[in-house]
Amino acid sequence: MLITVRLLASYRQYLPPAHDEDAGYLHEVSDGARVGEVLAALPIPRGDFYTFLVNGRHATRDQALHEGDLLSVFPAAGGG
Amino acid sequence: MHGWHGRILRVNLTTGTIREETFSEEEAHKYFGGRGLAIKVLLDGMDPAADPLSPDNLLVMATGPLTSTPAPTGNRYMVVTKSPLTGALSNSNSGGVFPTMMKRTGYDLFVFEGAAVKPVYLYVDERKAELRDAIHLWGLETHQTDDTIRGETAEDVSVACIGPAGEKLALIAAIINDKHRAAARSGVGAVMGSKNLKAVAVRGDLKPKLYDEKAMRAVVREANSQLAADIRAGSTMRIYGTSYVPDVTNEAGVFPTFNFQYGQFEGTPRINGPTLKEHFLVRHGGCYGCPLACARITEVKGEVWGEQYAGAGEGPEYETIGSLGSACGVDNMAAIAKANYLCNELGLDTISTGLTIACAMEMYTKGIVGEEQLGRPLPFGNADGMIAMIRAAARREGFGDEIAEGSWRLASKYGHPEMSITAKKLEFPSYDARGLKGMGLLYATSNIGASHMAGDTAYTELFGVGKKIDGLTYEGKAELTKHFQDIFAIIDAAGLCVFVTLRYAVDTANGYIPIRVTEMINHATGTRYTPDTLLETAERVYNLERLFLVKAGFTRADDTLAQRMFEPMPAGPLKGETFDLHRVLDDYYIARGWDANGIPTRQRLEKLGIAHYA
Repeated sequence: MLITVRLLASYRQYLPPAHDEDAGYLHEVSDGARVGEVLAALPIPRGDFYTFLVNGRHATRDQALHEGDLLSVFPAAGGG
Repeated sequence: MHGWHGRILRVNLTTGTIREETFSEEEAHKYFGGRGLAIKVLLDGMDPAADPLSPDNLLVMATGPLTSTPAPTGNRYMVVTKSPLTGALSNSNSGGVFPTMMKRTGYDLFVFEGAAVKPVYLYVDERKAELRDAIHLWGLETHQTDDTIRGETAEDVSVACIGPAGEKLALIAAIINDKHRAAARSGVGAVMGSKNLKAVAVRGDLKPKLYDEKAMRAVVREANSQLAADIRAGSTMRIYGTSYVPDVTNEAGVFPTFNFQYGQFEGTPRINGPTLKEHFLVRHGGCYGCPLACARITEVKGEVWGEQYAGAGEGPEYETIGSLGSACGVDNMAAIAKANYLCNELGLDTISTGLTIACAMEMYTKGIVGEEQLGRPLPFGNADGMIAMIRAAARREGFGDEIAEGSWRLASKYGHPEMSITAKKLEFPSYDARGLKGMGLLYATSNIGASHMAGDTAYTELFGVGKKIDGLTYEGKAELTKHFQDIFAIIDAAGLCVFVTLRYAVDTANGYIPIRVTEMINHATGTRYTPDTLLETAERVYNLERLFLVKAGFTRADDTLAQRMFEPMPAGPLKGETFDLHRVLDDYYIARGWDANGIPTRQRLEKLGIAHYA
C-alpha cells in the first residue's frame, strides 16, 4: 500500500531527490506495516532523536498504518 | 557572596535619588534568582492593587546568579512589574548582551520606583549610576535611541529602551535591548513610558565571584562538548533557528490561522524555515557567549521583494511568524520580516501586536468594523494593512490607538470579546491550546497570562524532546504543567535561556529533572540544592507570584482561556477538538496545594516558609 512520508525541518535534506519538499513523497509499504518498521527504513541518521506524527496526530511505533496515511517525521528539537 | 554581587540599585524617579541596597545570601537562596528576588521586591514594596501606569508601580530589572558566568547562555534577564495590559504580573525575559553587561555593573537588580517629571535615562558604569536627561531622545525609535546613547556615553555600552510605543503607553509595548531583543510581553514598555524612563544603559567588567570555579568550568566543559556535538550533527535550531517550527505546528494542526479560527495555514511553505534561510538569512546571531546562536540576522532587499518591505534586522522568530504571519493570513515572508523589524524599532511586542491586528482583521471580515473606523480595508492576508496598523499603533494614530490597547480591549469595545485570543488579556503564543492540553492549562493558569515562556509543555507534547507524549490527552497534564512552570521558573531565575538549558542541563529523558542546572547553581553560589530542593524553591517563587495576583484581585474565574478554545476546531487533524478546562483545573490546583478558588493554602505557604506574605 502507499503512504505519504513528509520529512520536515532539517530532515528535508534527506528527502529522495526530485521530490516536492512540502508535499512529501509517496512510499510503498507492506499492508498492515507498523510505524516503527517504516521509520527504521527512512533515510534519516541512525541514533537521531526524532518525533513522528500520523495524520498530524500523536502515534506509537507499534501502530498499524493504513493506505493513504501521512507519516511526518522531524527532529526532536524543541520549541520557539 | 558568590554568583551574586549582593547589591540592588534602587532608583527613585520622582525624587531623582539613587541608592544602593544589599541583600543577604539567605535571601538570595530562599527567594531564588532574579525572578525570586524581584517578586519579593514587588510584594515588599508596592500594593498589588495599584494602577500599573501610576508612580506606585515598581519596575524591576533582574539578572540571575548564572548571568555573566561561564554557564552556557548565562545571558538572560527578567523585567518584573505589574502589567498594564493584564493587571496581573509581568515577568518578561530577554537575552542579548544587555543582561550580561547589566550584571557587570556590579548590581544584580535595578529597581525603579515613582515617575520622573521629564524624560530621563539611567546610565550605570561600574557602580557609578546617574539619571540623565532624555528629552532629546523622546520620540526616537529604539535603534536611534541606542545609537545616540552610545554616542554620548561609551562605545561598549549596552542599552535597553522603549520606542514611541512605550512613550505613548501602548499596552502592547516592549522594552527592546541591543536593538533586536525584546522583553516583550504584557506591556512592560508602557510601564517604562509611564515613568518617563526612556532607557537604561550599562557597561562594566565586574563579574561576580564563583564559589567553586574549577567545578563550574568542568560542568561547563561537559555541557559545551554536548552542545558542540549537537551542532556538528546538524542541529535544527542551528540550521533554522525557531523558524523551523511552522512546519511542525502546521502538520499537527495547532498553527494559528486567521486569528485561531483554524490550525493549518495553506501558505506555510512560504513562511517557514527553508524560505527564511534561502531568501533572507544573512548570518546566524546569538546572545552573549551562546554556542548555539539560534538568532537569524536577516535582510529584505527592496529591489527583490518590494521597497515597502525593505529593511534589515533580526528574525522573524517562530512566534512572530505565527502572530504576524498565519494568524493574520499573511503568507509573505518579506512582509512578516518587515513587520518584525518595525515592531523592534517602534518598541512593540510582536505576539500581541500580531494577534490584535488579526482580531481587527476578523472584525473587519465579519462586518463589525469597517473602512470608516479603520481608515482602510483590512481583510486577512493584507500585509500592507498590517504594516500600516503597526506604525499607527506605536504612535496611537487613527485606529492604531485601538490596536495599542491589545485585542481584549479592542474586541470588547465592539462587543465581541470572543475574537480576542487571550488568557488574562495576554495574547496567545503560536500554539492552539485545543491540540496541546498541557499548553492550554499553562495559558489558563499562568501568573502572567498566555505565554510559552512560562512553561512550554509543547517540548514534550509536540516536539518530543526527551519523550513524546500525546498532546490530546488530559491525564497527567495537571502535574506536567505545574512541573514545567517550576522548571522554567528555575531557568528564568538563574539567568539562563530555556532553549539551550533544556538541551544540555535538564534530564529531559527522565521527566525533565534539572540535574546539571542544579550543579551549576551550586558551583556558582555555594548552595547545596538538590534537584528536588531547587524545584521546591521554584515553587516558592511561583507561589509568591500567585499571591501577587490574589492581592491584585484575581480569582479562579480568571484562570481561563479565550472562548474559541472551548469550541470545536473546524478542520484539519484536530477537527472537532475542544479544550475542556474542567477536566484539569481542579487537579492543577490540587497539585499546587491551592484551594478550589486557586488560592495557595495556608498549609502550603507555611511549608514553603512564606505564610507571612499571605
